[in-house]
Parts: sequence; structure tokens; C-alpha cells
Amino acid sequence: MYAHRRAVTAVVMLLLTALLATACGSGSGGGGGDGKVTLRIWDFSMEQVDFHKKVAEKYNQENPNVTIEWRAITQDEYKKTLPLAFQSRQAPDIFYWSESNMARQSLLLEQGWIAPLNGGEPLPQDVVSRWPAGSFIEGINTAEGKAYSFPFTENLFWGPGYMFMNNQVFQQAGLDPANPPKTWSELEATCAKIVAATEAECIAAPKKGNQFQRLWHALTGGTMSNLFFDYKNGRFSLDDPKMLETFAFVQKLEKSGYLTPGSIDQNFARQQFAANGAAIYMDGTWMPSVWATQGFTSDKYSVAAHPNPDAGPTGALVREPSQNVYWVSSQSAAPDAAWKFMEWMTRPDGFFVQEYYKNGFGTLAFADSKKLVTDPALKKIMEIAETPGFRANIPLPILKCPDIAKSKAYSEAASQRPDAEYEAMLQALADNSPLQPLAAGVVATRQKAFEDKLAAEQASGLKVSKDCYTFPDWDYRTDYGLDKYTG
Amino acid sequence: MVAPIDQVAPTTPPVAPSQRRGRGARPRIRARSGPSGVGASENRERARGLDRLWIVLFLAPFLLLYLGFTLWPLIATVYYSFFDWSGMGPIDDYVGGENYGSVLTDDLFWLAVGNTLLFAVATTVIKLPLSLIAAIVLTRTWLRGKRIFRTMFFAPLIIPVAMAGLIFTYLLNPSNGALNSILRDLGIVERSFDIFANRWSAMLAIVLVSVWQIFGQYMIYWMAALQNVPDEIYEAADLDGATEWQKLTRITLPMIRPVAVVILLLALVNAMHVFGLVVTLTGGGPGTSTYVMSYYIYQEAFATVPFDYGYASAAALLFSVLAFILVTGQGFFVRRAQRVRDEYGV
Amino acid sequence: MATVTRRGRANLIALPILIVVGVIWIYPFLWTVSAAFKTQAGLFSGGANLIPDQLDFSNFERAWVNAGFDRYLLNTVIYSVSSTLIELVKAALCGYVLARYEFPGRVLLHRMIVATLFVPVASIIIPQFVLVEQLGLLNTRAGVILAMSGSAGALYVLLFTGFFSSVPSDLFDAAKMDGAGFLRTFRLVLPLAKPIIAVVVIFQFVSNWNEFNIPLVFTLAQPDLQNLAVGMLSFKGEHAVDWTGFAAGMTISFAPMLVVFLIFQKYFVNGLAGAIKG
Repeated sequence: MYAHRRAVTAVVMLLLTALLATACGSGSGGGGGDGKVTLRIWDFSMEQVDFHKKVAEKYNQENPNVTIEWRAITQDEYKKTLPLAFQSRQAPDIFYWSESNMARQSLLLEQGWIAPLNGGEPLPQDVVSRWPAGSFIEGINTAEGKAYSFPFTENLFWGPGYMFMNNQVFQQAGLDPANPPKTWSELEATCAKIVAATEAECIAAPKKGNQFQRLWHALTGGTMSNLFFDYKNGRFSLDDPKMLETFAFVQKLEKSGYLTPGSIDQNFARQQFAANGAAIYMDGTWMPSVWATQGFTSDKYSVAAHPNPDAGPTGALVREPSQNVYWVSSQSAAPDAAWKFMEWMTRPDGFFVQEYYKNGFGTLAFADSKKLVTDPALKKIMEIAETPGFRANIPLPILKCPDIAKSKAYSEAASQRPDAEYEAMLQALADNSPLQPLAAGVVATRQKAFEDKLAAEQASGLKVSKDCYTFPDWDYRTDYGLDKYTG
Repeated sequence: MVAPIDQVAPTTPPVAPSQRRGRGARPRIRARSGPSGVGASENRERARGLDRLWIVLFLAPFLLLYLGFTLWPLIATVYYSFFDWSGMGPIDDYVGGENYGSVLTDDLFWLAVGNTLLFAVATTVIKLPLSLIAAIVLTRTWLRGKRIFRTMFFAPLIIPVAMAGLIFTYLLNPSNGALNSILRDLGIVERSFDIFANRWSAMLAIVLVSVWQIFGQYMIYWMAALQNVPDEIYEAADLDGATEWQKLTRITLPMIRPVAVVILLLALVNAMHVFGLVVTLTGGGPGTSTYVMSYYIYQEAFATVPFDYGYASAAALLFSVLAFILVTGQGFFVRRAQRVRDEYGV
Repeated sequence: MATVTRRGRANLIALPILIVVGVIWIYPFLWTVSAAFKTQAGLFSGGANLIPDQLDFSNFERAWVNAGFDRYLLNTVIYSVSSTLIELVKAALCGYVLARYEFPGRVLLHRMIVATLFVPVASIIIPQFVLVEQLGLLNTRAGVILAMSGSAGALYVLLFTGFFSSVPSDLFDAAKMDGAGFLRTFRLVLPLAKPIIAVVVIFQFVSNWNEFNIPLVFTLAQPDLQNLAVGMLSFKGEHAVDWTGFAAGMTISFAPMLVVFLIFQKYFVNGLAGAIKG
């Protein structure tokens, strides 16, 4: 009998010790009683972890009662874990959220995730003036007069659509990167030379899921707009003749063997370019800092604008106020401290700005990029972006119809199988079949969901309609100014 | 007999005990007294007295965890599937069977179902026989270096699935991957090819990488099964002058058949949950042509905010039911076929 | 004499085949280890080459710091060991009872275990999360361990059930004759299950070691409680992947598991046979 009891005790003890011995390390509170505050900040900028650590240290030096825990989680995981954090009431004080562009603020408000900046009081004028006029827009980052976020990176220089050329490969092919291909035919001619004269591929093209956008944004930015929605006609647009024409060109490049073979991903494409395995890579403003971390410095490549159709550009890359990414959580125990930190962080000549530019992470909306940028590649990028017609402000439905803030029609239609456009294009590319039938299918599904939901919302009293999304007087190429809505 | 899908009601007396629970159970007795299975009475006994308390105690740890981490989440999932719910906030938007309706009419769902089943069958057909052969070879007493070889075949298993996927995207990529560079050096192919450019070759790649990775696990299952065959039988067979081949087909294979049913079940079930490899190797592409079920569910549940958790729950449940029916159905037919064969002494 | 030459011949045929297959088999593995010594550029231009372009130990340094090996190794060990133990105990106990005893609901339980094998794990993490939250165990090691050992395991119950029902009933009869009670009998037959125990330990340990979702999700507010698999994420930036750092991290993380395998695999060899003969 004793033997029995001993064995049972052993088993039970085993279970208990396994559990109890490890039950230590339970959660530590945010705010303390002695005025000490811990601010938790989450984002997914893994490469900025060291920078954020420095920022936290500096801020703690200046404000000894505030400790900052800045944490990065990779993007895929982040999207999954942040909602769980909110659900379990352990959301961070400040969080990064960049999903669902224009509908972002209304979505976050609806989820109850965000609190107004500065306790709901209007932001002080000297703070507001850090941004260009018109940066705080009702429905985008302001609701009922309360600011909820601020543009982080600016949106003229920052974005996709640049063509990077590997100097070494260009020279091997007897080409001069200072004289880049400007049109589609020139691009083909360049590729022909590169493929003939070097071991390298011509264009490193990510073809995994939505990463195909790296190439796509650049090329379609010359024909129409790098959105899959056409604000001129108020409809989803993958089947538009201009889009199909752009895609046909991509298909031609693929058939000629000018794109890297295989469904490689973007990291691979970038590395292939950096390892002199490809002559051209098209992507965005962030590339100089990405390559810098891999030891591929800006003297080894050149930047140019994306090539346009031979007949000249008929479109432009999108410029939209979508850079509102840092939000104060509604669950924060110290929203005041959170705002104070944000105010500190956005000082145009402050520590954050200085270090951010020193690391070459990008171009901030509340700083003078022209003065602060030193990297030659980044300087060239800014020069390109300033060319008229490279990027254009798109029309904003929310300014035409304020009720759009409450409408889910667009976001639901666009988020149903969000990568459908890319999936259709990659399918057509792999099968070497025309895009049109696939595109028509995608557009039909999206458009139906969009218009049905709009109709339902209209029936329930919202003042929304397809008209809110239609701007016939827009031409894709020029800024749709704020003055145009007052009609 | 391992009876996960046997599910013989305890009250039904086994008709042909030797086929049903006798085989693995009493090899020694059978070996002595012939195939009639003498003494093949029900192995299980009814609990009496104090034993009942022990049974409760023994079941408790599993039951508690099972209730908490499997059953209750499952019930919750069923509940969610009737709502338009984003995974957080109040669950109040009851939509009835609407989620199920839209899942069933979604072509991509059926494509994913088809791909998953294809994957499950293909990997199983490849990995089970091969790993059995490996297990048999690597348990031979005469073989030298068993430890090293076992470790070699086991090694891929300790790489996380996603990492294995990353390694193979690198090795298989057409620009500078190992496979293409070897094939080119050997002059087998002239221009490098992309295995992920086409639905069927992409599926094949996923299947083969998956077999590579999981192989060691099934090899070990088979090795554990082979340990169940007592040495005396082989010794007796040796005395009778049986060849290795005869020993294999007459003793080994019949004896591990009960365990084989479980291993088959595990193989199919595990294969149906394939996820990480698809994410890293193809991302469901080209287009949507290599979507599998868990990838579909993941995309529906977590790809966009607000999440469509209710819809994903419905899809998950529909797939579970479908998979359950197919796999147990297959088990049923296999058993029937076996019974018929045994009755006619084939 | 005849047997010796026959064995020699068999080895002569089998060994070369096994060596060739084995080397191809672990090639991706070797490639990873060699990548851990390469530079980024060397990795990229290396193709199938296994010899590093230079012996670059900086990858290991980076891996040690970035993946937080110093901080997360302890967590990983605690999680892996305790949930493997729990897994083993609960599966062995339950499997034994299911195989040996008749009780009301046995068939139902068995069927449910099989049926729930089919539920995709990814789809039930939210309710699991809610449960751990309700128990007040979010952001504790206990919560992570519970979730890790709770969500898997039905499979192992089946293995144990299968095994224990194949134990000859003579053995139990003999035990009863000797006057052994419930527990004594269990302790008598448990050692016979060494092969199954080894299977469970190896697979559960490996999968716990690499478990990613649970440690990430259940320690949101306490990053210090994460494990290596989550730490490994730090090589995957927003815009780039540190491949060689990744490879180095993987290489460090492999080692403990190879040790576990080498220790436990001998139980397959001298597992059952001897015990049954007795």
C-alpha cells in the first residue's frame, strides 16, 4: 500500500512541481504609485530595435520617471498578436498600425482600440506646425476635432516606384547607370544587353504573393495608378485596359527571360541584386537602409525613376495621407505620458529625428528631410520624387462624403481575399495566359461586394454612394487638391 | 490491438478475435498455438472497488487538459461559426448558417480541400513504405553504424517546418539554388527551371520536402512497431529454415499490421494539417493553385483586419468533418477488405 | 563461419547505399550548418557549395545576442522539459486505462479523441487564449506550459492505448496471481512501454523546442518569458532576412535536440523484447 501511495504522490508531485515551479514571473504592472511610468510601445520594425533601445535610454535620461519598453514583432505575427493583446487587455500604450489605409482611424475607433492624443485637447499650435499644412484631416487622423495620430513618414519621397541599378553589372554590360532606361523599350534593350553580356539576370522580380507589387507598383505608376481602385470612375480596376497593357509588358519581359526565373520572394530578390546577381531591382525609398545593413552601400548602385511607356506616362504613383501609424491605446494607463513621449519624439530637431536620419531609415513627415538626408542614394530618390507627375495626391472620398468614415463597403470589398489581384497576375504569368478573364473575375467580385454593401448602408441611413468614390475630373497625373472638394 | 478507428463496442464479442485484437496482442501464444488465436478473450476487464478510484485518477490529467484545450475550444469554434465575428469584441452578430453557405460555395475552399487531400494521400503513399523499409534495414542486427544512420534520417525533423521551407526555397530556386546548379553542371538541364512555377510541380515539391522532413518520425514509429515482434518467432522461423524474405512477409508484416493502421491514420491526419511548408515554399501560389486547407483558414481568419473569425471557424469545422469522414471511411473499407480476405483465407 | 560472411556481404551491399542516401538526405542540413559560417555574399553566390567562403564566426555571435540565446535558453528548456513530462504522464496514464479497463464512456472517449485529431490547430488558438486568460495564467511560464501540453497529445494517448492493449494478458494474469493491485500492475508494465515513451519524449520534446505560436501569444506582455523559436524571429526584419544569422541560430538550436535523440534512441533497440521473454 505504501508503494502505491508513494507512486501516486510522485506522479502528483511531478505535475504540481512542473506547474508551480514555473508559475513565477507573473506580469508587472504599468503605472506605479510613486509616479514611475512604464510605456510599452509595439511595432514591427525589426531593424530598428537597436535604435529604439537608444531612444528609450535617452528619454529615460531626460525623464527619469518614465521607462520605455519598445518591442518589435515581425509583421505577420504582429497582425495576429495585437488584436489578441487588446482582447486580453494587455495592449501596449503606443502601437503601430498601418493596415487598411484610409479607413484606418474609423476601423480603430470602431474596435475601441485608440485614445485621442493630448487627452482630447486640441494639439498646441507649435506642435501642429511641425507638419505641413493640411496634415491633420478629419476622418483620417482626426475625429470630432480630436487628433488620434499624426503622419509619421512623409508621403512624397517615401513610397514605391524607384528603379535601382547595380553599377557593377551595368558596367560589365558596357552600360552607364547614369544613363538609365527611361522607357519600356529602352528597358527591354538594356535587358537584352545585360543578358547577352553578363552572367547576371536583368530584373530581380519577387513573384511570391503580394510581393509582386515591388515591380508592379513601379511599372503601373507610369500608366494609371498603383492602386487597384480607379478613383476617376469609382470602380476596382485590374481589368482596365491600362492595367492590362502594363501587365502585358511584364509578361513580355518574363517571356524574353528578362525577369529572374521562379517565384522568389522579395528578400531573395534584394539579396540577388546586392550580390551582383541581377542588374535591376524596383522598389521603394526604404531600400538604401535595407542594403546598408547588408553591407551593400550606395556607391555600388544607382537610382532612377521607373521607366514609362514609350508614348510617355499616363499615370502617377499614389500619394495619400496613409502615414498615420502610431496610435495611443485606449487601454493605456498613462495616455498623458504616451502623448508626452510622442511630442518629444516628433521634435523636428530632437534626438529621435537626428538618430532616425543618421541611421538612414527614411524620411519623416515632421522633419526637414532635405537638410537631414546625407545618403547620396536617398538624395537622388528625393530628387526623383519631386519631379512633377511622379507622385500625385489622389482624391479622398472621405472629404467628399464625411459619412464614408462609418462605411465599411470599400474596406470589406478590398479585404475579401486581399491578394486576389496579385494572385490573378501571378497565375497569368505562370501559365503565360491573358490576364483579362482572371482580372474581370476579381473586379466583378469586388465591385459587387462594394456596391451591394454601399446600397445596404445607404438603406440604413448613411449618406454614402458610389458617387462618393467617383472623381471624373481627376486625371491620375496631377494632385487632387483640397480646394476641389468645396463644390 | 490499437483500436483508434476500430471502435469496437465493448459489448460485442469479437467475431474473429485473431484478426481484430489478437494479432499484435499475443504474438507468442499465436506462434505456439496457430492462427486460431487460443485464449483471445477480451483484454479489458471491468473495474472493481478501489480500482474505480484509480481509473478516475489516471484519466484526470488527460481529461482536464483535453476538456480545456481541445473540447471547449472546439465547442467555442462551433459557436463562433454562426456569427459574423472578428475574433474580438462582443459576439452579437448572429448570421445563422450564412458562413457555412459562403464557405461551401467558395471555389477556393474546394480547391484547398482537393489540394489537401491530394497532398495527404501523396505524402502517405510515399513516406510510409519508404520509412518502413528504412526501419527494417536499420533494425537488422548485422548492420553496422545503425546509430549514425538513424540520426541521419531523423535529423531533418529537428528543423522547424518554416525553417525547412526557407532552406528549400533557397536550394530549389532557379537562379542560384543548389539543385539547379548541380543539374546544370551535370548537363542534365540546359536552362534552369522553376519547380514552383506550375501547380503540379509545386505540389510535388511540397510533397517531397514534407516527406524529407517527416520521414524520421515515421521511421521511428515503424521501429517501435517492429520491437513488438518477439525474437522467438524469428528464432523459430530460423530453425524451420525460413529465408529473410519469408520472415518479412510471413511474420513481420502481418504482425505489425494493427500498428500500421494507426500509423496510417496518423500519417493522413498529420498531412492534412500541412501549413508551414506551403507558406514558405509557395505561399499558395502560383496564383491560388497550391492553397491547402489550413492556409485557406489562416488567410480567412488573420489576413485582413477586421478578422473574419466566424467564417474561418466555419471553414475549419467543415474541413474537419470532411477529413474525418474520408479518413475513417477509408479505414472502414480497409478493414472490410481485410476481413473478407481473412475469411477466404487469401 | 557461414553467418559471418553472410553478414559481411549484407553490410557490403547495404552500407554504400545507406551512405549515399544518407548524405543526400542530410545535405540541406549540412548546407545550413555551412551557411552559418558563410558571409551573406558567400551564401548567395555559393550555390550547392558546402565549403564556407571564409570561417566567419560573427554569425554565431550575432545569433547568440539577437536571438536572445542567453535569455531564452532557460525558458526553452523549462517549457520543453515540463510540457514533455506532462504530456508523457497524462498520455501514459490515460492510454493505460483506456486499454486495460472497461468503464462507462470508454468508447465515447476513444472516439472523441480520434475525431478531434482532425481539427486544424490554428483554428482554436483564440478560445485557448481565452481559457488561459480566465485562469489568470497569461504571461506566466505555467500558462505557456499548460497550453503547450494541453493542445497536443491525443495522438500519444492512442499510441499508449495501442501499446498497452498489445501486452499479453498472461502478464496481467500473472500479476494478479501475485496479488498485485492496480498501481503495482501499472508499474510492472510501464517499463515495457519504453519504445512508446521514447517516441513521445522525442517528438514532444522536438516540437516543444520549436513551438512558436504559444510562447509568442501567451507571453505578450512579458517578452522575457519567450523561447528561442520566437527569439529567432529577430533575424527576419521588415525588409530583409539575416540568412547567415538565422543559419547560425538554427545550428546552435539543433545541438540539444540531437543529444536528446542520441540518448533516447537506444530505448528502441533494447526496448520490449527482453521484458516480454521474462
